[in-house]
Amino acid sequence: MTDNVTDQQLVARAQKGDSAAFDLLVRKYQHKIIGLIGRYVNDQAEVQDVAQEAFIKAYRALGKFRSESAFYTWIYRIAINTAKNHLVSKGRRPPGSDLDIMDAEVVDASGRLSDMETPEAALARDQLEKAVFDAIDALPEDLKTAITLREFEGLSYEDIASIMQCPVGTVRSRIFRARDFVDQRIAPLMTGKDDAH
Amino acid sequence: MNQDQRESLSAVMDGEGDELSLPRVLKSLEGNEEMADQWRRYHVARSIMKRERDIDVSMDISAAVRQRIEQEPMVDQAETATTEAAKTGRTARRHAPFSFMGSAAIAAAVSLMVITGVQVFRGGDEVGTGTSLPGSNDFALQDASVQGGEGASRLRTNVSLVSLPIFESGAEAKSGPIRVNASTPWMTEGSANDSDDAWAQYLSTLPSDQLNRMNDLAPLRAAQ
Repeated sequence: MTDNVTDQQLVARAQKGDSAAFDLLVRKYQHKIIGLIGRYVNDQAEVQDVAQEAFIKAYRALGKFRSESAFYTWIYRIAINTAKNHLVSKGRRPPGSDLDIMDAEVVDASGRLSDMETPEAALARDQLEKAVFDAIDALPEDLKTAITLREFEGLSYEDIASIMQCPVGTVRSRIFRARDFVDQRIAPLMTGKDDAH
Repeated sequence: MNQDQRESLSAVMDGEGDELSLPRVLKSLEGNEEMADQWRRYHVARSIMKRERDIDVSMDISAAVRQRIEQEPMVDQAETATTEAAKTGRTARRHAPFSFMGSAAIAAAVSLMVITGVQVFRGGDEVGTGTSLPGSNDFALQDASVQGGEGASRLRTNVSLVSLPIFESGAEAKSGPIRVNASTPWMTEGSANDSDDAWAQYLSTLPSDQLNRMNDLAPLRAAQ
């Protein structure tokens, strides 16, 4: 079962009316969608509104989603269209061409778009980045290996178990404990940021 | 929130839970804001580990979206059902017996055309070679074969529009809608034959009734 399969399962449940499943999709992808819309819309309050609108549109159109593409690809297009419509409604001209979803990742990796970030967003991300990597450095070796093989190498639990010569259940536990350790370091930095809308 | 639930959340995030993991996690999320927020933070940590620089962690809109969704009608399940039905309908039509019969009929028609074509040409061939397939003389060209030898050979090599009933060749031809002969630009070979000048010259020699008929049949020339 891959990450996409988890998304498909969440979508399937949301299509049957399970709003908690859709909530997990929103929590999972909101930061990417907000970052994406921030490239089109400068004002932070407007970014929040447009991002909310994009998710609401996705929720309304969920019945049409047939899992032929990844959920993120689908919500990505909705977000771009919503941002463009917003610009048009404000009498502003949307960019002539979109960033392709793959190109966007390349450009992001090069950091060329970081100039568009607000100082608040850049600061928040930098603080989180430091907290995450400091936490990983502080992990016991077995937990560090497990989380590294999972998140950096993208290996399955079975492959990690084979490499670490331990049962899959142990891998599952080690990855969870590593995540939990990192989470304890970043949770204080991520509280109190709830949208007041 | 107990450790087992959080461990299940972590496994589901990796797509490594069993079939029951997701329903269990969703059930345990009911009224458990802390666990739902942990899911969010796990994904933010993942994005940071993967150096995804496009994320904006300065705001959280999930509560606002959740609030608006509560005011929304349920996801249009009827639409989902319609979409599924349309999909199933397409699939069913694609595999319906009628579709097979239609394909068979087309195949039979194409086969018949091929056989007919072979027989027509073999009918011409027969004159020159003396060989034939059963039934190869059933078609109109067999009349021409009685000319034998040189005539048959000419027929075989000069299969052209002249052979079609709509045209008549020869200087004495009177009854065909279009009369063609060696001076007709597009019936003779040569690079200049299809030029506008050659056509203008040719057309000026034709009587008005034939010009009118040619106008009616202009698409035929275009098809050449």
